[in-house]
Amino acid sequence: MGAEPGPRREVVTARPRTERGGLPLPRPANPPGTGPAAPADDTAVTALMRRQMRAALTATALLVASLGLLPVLLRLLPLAGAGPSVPLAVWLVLGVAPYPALLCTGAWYVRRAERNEGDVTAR
Amino acid sequence: MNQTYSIAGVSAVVLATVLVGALGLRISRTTSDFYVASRSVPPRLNAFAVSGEYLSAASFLGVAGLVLAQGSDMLWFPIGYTAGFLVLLAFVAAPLRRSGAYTLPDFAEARLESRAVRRIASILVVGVGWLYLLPQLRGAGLTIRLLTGAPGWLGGLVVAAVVTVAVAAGGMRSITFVQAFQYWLKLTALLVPAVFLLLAWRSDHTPAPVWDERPVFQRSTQVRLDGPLTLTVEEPVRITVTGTVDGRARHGGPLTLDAGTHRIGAGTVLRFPSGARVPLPGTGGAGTAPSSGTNPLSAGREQHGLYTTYGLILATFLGTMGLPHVVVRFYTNPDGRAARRTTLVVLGLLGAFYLLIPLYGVLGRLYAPDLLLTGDTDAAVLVLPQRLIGGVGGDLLGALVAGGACAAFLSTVSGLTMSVAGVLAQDVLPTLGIRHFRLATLPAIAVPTAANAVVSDLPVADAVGLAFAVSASSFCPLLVLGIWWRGLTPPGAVAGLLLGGGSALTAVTVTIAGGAGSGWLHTLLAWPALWSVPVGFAAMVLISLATRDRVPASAAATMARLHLPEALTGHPGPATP
Repeated sequence: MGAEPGPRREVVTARPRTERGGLPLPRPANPPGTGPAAPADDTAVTALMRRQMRAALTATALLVASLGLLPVLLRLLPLAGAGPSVPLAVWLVLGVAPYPALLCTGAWYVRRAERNEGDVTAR
Repeated sequence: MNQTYSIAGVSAVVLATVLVGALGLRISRTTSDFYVASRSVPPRLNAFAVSGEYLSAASFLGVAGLVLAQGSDMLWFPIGYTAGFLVLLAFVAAPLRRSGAYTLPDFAEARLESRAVRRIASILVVGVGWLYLLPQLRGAGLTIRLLTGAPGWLGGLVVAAVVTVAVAAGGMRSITFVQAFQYWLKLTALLVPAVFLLLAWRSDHTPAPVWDERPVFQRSTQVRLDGPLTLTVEEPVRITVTGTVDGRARHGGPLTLDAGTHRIGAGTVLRFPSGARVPLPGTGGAGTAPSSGTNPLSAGREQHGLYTTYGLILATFLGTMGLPHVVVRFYTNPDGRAARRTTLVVLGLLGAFYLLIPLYGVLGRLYAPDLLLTGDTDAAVLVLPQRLIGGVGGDLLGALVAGGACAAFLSTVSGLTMSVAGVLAQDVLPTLGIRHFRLATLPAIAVPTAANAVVSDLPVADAVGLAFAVSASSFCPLLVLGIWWRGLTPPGAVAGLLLGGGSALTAVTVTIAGGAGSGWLHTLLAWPALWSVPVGFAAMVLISLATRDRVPASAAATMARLHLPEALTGHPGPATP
């Protein structure tokens, strides 16, 4: 835990703040010609945003389709009704199954999002 | 409960926290260190810290208590607490990091170039933070009351004092190490006893708990009541009593409690035989589900189950991204990619932890049903080791669990205090550096500590749900629309924050103050997310469309910075794995 890897620590002696807001902007590392405001980039940004949005919405759709419908399903299915003994299946569906599913969805999304970004960087 | 072992466990945790914090203090020197650990925390360490901070008393104690009282439906709490990070990962994590802002108000101002939005966001951050701190301090008070017999408010006060010193002294840098350490402590504190509890349960011929009916005492059980209580007895039960029952003093003799209500005096000790039904507090007749009447939120839940379940799902799924103590940790990542990876690791870490929770709830229903009688269901996790295992082994495991619970509220309280104090120092007190940040820790924690002494009983996990609802109706629209929609305008954001967040905050305040009685109105107010989140989104979108000329001039540039990888924009540091 003592010496951690990673990028160099940057020392900021006061809260970085410009007149218009709390942005620590601009940084000197900005290479000329690749500034974010270059108008030609705008379509690229829009395209990237659209692809990232699609990935995010797909992940959310998976979440809604699996977990989001579960309360209704459990309500409708007779085995989960208000009987005195809750079947083991209900405990497994609510207590165990969601976590691997969430992790897998998350892993898929991260891969997809990084690939989308990689496409832009490679261009 | 053997106090010596448990106190030793809690003391060890406090000591270790201070030690690890002091370690961090030696390298925490500048304001930037103080707020965001100079953005150099590698993803895995940061994920430990996020999880350590996030797993609060509500997760460690509260959920098992709710499962004990109300069964498998309550597992939606941990599912929501985890799934919230998936939504955060998908919509917010990387762009939020790339925005380069320190706090939610910073983000609001950077994206919208408006001081007004910033101010409203600051107020909401403080509101959500205080709402979330309240149940943590309550959990702290409960744990310390069970361990030492000290009154609940004193426990809250002790935790508040420890955290104030730790936060004011070390700031975020040392907190990173403390939080990471505490995730593993909490996991161990549940995992190790769980193994022994399962073995003990097996050697007890694996009895299955019964839900939806009044629970029975699996074993002969002695219950000590701290305060006076009215009990409803369903069928006559023969018990031994030391203390007062129905106004008459008893001295250890046998007594048959007839069906009906009985008043039990403070300090009375009751011993129930095994197989007896657990009498429940309150005057509810037959057919009243367990624990309704003991807390303001469960009544509505039983009447409108599906509505409240979806209210909970929406609040937790969307509310996580706006919790101030979670969000501030994302600024400590080196870049957007690292922020995503951090979140992914968090999903795994939280899942591992929450897998253990149902076990404690089920075993609590079997072996600690008397907690339903006293209303201390949040204590299920704490009392189980002694109940099932007993002897020195039970005491040691009990000490471990107590230490874990202590880590749970210490880590969350310090994280929340940190972020609330950060906002107070920046937006309320003049910004002159670390000195003012230290001053700001005092009001940050004093207000919820005082409220904790005043507010009526709320189960820990339920109260946390209220904070999620406010966050989901205000910060979720702000972040999601701010990151994905160029058309968001300052007036739109103000309207959304005020209408969504404001209405949820009002509903929650009315609920906590106990002003809504029962029925549909109460349910709507106690689980506001289903209506307040759409209100927040709709207000932001509609007012933004109506004020289209107010779209910030820098919107396109900001969008590029939020979404393009750092290698293209040249913004924060190099992307090292």
